[in-house]
Amino acid sequence: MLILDATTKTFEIDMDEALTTSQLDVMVCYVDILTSDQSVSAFGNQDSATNSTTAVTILSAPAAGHTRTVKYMSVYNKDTVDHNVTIQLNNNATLRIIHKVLLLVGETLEYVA
Amino acid sequence: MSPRGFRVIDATGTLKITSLGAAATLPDPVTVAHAGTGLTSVAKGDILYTSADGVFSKLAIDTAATRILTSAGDSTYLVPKWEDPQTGLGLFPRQISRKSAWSTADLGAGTTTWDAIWALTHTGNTALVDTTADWIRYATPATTDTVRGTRVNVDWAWADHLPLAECLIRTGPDITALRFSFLISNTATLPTSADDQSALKGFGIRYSTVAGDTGFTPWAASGAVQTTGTVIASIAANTIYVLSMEATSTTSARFKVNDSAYQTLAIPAGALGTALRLQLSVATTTNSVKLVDMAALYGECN
Repeated sequence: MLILDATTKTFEIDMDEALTTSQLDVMVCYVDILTSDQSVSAFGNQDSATNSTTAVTILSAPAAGHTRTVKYMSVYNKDTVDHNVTIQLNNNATLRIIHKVLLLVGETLEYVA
Repeated sequence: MSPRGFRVIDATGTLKITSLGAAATLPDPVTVAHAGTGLTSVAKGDILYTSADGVFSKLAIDTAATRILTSAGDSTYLVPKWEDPQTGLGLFPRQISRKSAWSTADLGAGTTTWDAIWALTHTGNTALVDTTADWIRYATPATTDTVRGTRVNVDWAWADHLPLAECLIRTGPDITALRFSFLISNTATLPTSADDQSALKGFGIRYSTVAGDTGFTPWAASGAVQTTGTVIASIAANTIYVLSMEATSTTSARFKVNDSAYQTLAIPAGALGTALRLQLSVATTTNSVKLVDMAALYGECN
């Protein structure tokens, strides 16, 4: 289970290479929980695209008093070359690599909670 | 249920195994390297074995009633094979090349206990131990036509009981001017030093330089007529041989030496219905010592 439990935490995507033709498509589906009573406060999804070798936020931080849980994530390589993709946690500017994989052309990296 | 966590789907929609920094396609069928077998199907009764490093193969079940699994699937003895214990391995489970011990047991239908150990009478024997085996050496004196050897000194079986006998022997340093005999016959003594054994009833294997045998030769006799077969295998001095003879029916006996093909001879009717014994002997046909070493003797019958 991937969780953002502070307003200073986000999930990001980065690549080792610049695009050739197209950036990679990203979508994250999440559930927000009210931390005080664990009740569901929101369902949502956030879509984005990579930005070559610049990290991109793929899931923003939760609001104060909330916990954001990733239910599903997908990264689709629609470029014409393979890419080394990194999924990382940005904790108040400190980066923690969660998963790194070579995504071939046409492949999809998925995360299922 | 879909696997949780990160995974990679390839361009065809097939799930891939992912690891940090690399993705590897899960092949179909899953190979041994991916903890699979590389096989696309198995049938009921199949046994999996490795036919080569990293390769699984199937050994189909042998649907006969009784089979045992051996390693004799090829000459390297690294491949399994189903064998008929009655034919594929000879006299399973005993080994003729090693000593066997038997306990006395009640083999009869009544209350009589039968000795399952040979009651042998040795003549001209000495013990000999070397790196190969524990031998009993039978050596003739240096007198023409003297016979030495061993014999079962009680009635053992009829030919009708389909007896089988094997021996592990080693020829002496000089195989000229001699007669060697391994017999299932009705003689209560060792056979005479003669090629004509027609007066006996039974069958056996001989090597006679006087008869001009070029190797081990089978024969059968009715008490009046002797029939001789062709050479089963050649013979050499100082050589170990396993001799085997068996009545496969009341009309036929077969013989082999080591791994030779069987040779078949007819059992004459006159040899049936008669108590037979087992004899192994060497006779000299000149005034010089001849010998044979025996390491093991085995017999079975109905």
